[in-house]
Amino acid sequence: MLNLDDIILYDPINNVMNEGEYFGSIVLKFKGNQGAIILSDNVDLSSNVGFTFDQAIKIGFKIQDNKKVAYLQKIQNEIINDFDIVEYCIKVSDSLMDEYDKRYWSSTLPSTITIVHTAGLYLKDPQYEINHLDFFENEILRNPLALINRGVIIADRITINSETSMVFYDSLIIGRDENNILKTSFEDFIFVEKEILEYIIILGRDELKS
Amino acid sequence: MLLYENIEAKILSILKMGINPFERFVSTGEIKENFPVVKSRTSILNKISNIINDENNFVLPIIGGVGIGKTHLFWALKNKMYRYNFIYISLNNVYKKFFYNLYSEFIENIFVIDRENKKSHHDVFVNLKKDFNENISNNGKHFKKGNVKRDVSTPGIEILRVITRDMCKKWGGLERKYGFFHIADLEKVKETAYQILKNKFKDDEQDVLKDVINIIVSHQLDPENGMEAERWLLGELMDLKELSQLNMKFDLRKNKAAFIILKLFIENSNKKTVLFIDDFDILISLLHSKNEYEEQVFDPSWLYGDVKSPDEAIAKKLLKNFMMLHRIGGLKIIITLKSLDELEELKMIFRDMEEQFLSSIKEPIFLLPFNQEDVFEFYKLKMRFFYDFLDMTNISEDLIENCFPIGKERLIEIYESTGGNPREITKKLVNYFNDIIAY
Repeated sequence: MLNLDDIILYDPINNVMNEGEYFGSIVLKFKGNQGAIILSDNVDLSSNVGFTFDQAIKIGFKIQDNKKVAYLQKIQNEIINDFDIVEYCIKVSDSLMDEYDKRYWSSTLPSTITIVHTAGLYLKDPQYEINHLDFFENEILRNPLALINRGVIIADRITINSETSMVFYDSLIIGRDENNILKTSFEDFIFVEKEILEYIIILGRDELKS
Repeated sequence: MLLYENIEAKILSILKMGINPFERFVSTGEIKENFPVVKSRTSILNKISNIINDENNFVLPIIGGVGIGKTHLFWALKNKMYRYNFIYISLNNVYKKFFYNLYSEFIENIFVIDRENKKSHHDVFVNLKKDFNENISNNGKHFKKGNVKRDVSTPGIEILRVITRDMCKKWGGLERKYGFFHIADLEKVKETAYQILKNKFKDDEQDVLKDVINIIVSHQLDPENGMEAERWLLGELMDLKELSQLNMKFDLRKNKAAFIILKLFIENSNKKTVLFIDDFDILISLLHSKNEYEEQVFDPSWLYGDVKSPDEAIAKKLLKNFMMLHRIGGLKIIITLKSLDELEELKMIFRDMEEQFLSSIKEPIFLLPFNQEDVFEFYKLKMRFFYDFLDMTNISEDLIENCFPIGKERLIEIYESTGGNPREITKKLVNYFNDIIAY
């Protein structure tokens, strides 16, 4: 279901900058193929100060002990004043989030794996590759967040069909179309091939709760 | 394709194949009925619709004898007021475990968009039409019975989930952490719900209320127990192990759980609910049923005091339960009775039990027998229905207006012999057409 009611707060490719304070479901993506993501329920954007987040989570990969590990970092009162490192920031429309809520119940499937701490399921990186897809083949994992070549997928759950393909269920998709216009949509399920994946992170329940 | 010299011969030929336009003559609450009401009853239908639209928490008595069309009126109302949740119960079937049975009907009603096995008159005619077409293709030699496979609709279980989701939303259970994630503190949500609801229930209902809240919250917000909670909400039998997993002692059949959950669901449903209780007069019969001791020479009350008959005890309990329905916000109730005397008697009983309840009982609506014009109209409507479903589009208006094949004179005879009772009229018409089929 494609949505046209989103508010694009910042999109340098299309020269968009909508200053103001926003509440709802906000996504900020940092630049880079494997850039981190910020998810928050509020942001204050101004050209002078930058992006101010009262409370948010930042999700991505970092190098630790000579290997890359996924992280979910809680941030409070953080200001991002360097616009050059931000690829875009968007507020997903309330109607789309309501649709997401309606499907939320279906997540109460039996035998769904919820992990306690955030971990990387897959990372395309010649030097620090992570690939646990075969280990979780045919399992259902909750709270995946994925970066594909043109967008972000925030899904309720993921099933690994094989080492090369997977299905995301009840997914919000944020990304650019062929004209580089930012769009969002909700899909009941979406098949994704491994070759277009940059990374998949499974968000930990305890870190989301804390 | 067979060619007929005239349309009258064709109709008679079809009838002789065994298709009776008046095959079914009793409306039931279970079988969907699409047949419209006659004009003289339209004003009654409108009057009831206006009351339903404008008022809440009332009891509207509809008075009419056996076979007068009370159940048919239910279907006419349900079809007309499709935005409402119409629940039909016959008191004959639900006087034991009243709330549990009522809850089951409520769930079935909101769930099943189109019932799989319950055919409407429309479906009967669809079958007949198929049979007829098959028969024509077999050169009219045999009348072969056939069944039309219908689409099997899936239950709308989503509606239940929407109701519990909306309730949890009101209780703060669907707040999105970081804008996206439903990470609810279940205990906090349950406590919020209890604080919101506790004043709506009596002291002896508080423990059951907490249990019901627990189930609703688990259903919506607890991924590990959601499926089990849904089974509980659907009224499934559960063993102790399953119940303890949900932190519950009983399933829906025990205590007042069915009443409480019914109240919560009706009050929180997007659609307003109309409860149509047919055969309400059974209450009076139960109250009047004789105590077995009264037949005996020796009156045991000398020794044991007054002893109530079991039926009387059931009737009293049923009345008490019925009056509890008045506590369900926005519920609109229609009851059917056979006579005004029964209504007066009921009022007297209510006066003794809880006088305030009387104010919710509205002036009765009387369903009268058909008049002569109604009989003509009823016949013509049925025949039009019949011709339509056989794709007989070339029927002349004169043929319909003259009430072919029975004729107006015969219809007047039927009207006079039945006193205008719709069921009796239909029985006579069934017999008339059976005679055509047989000879």
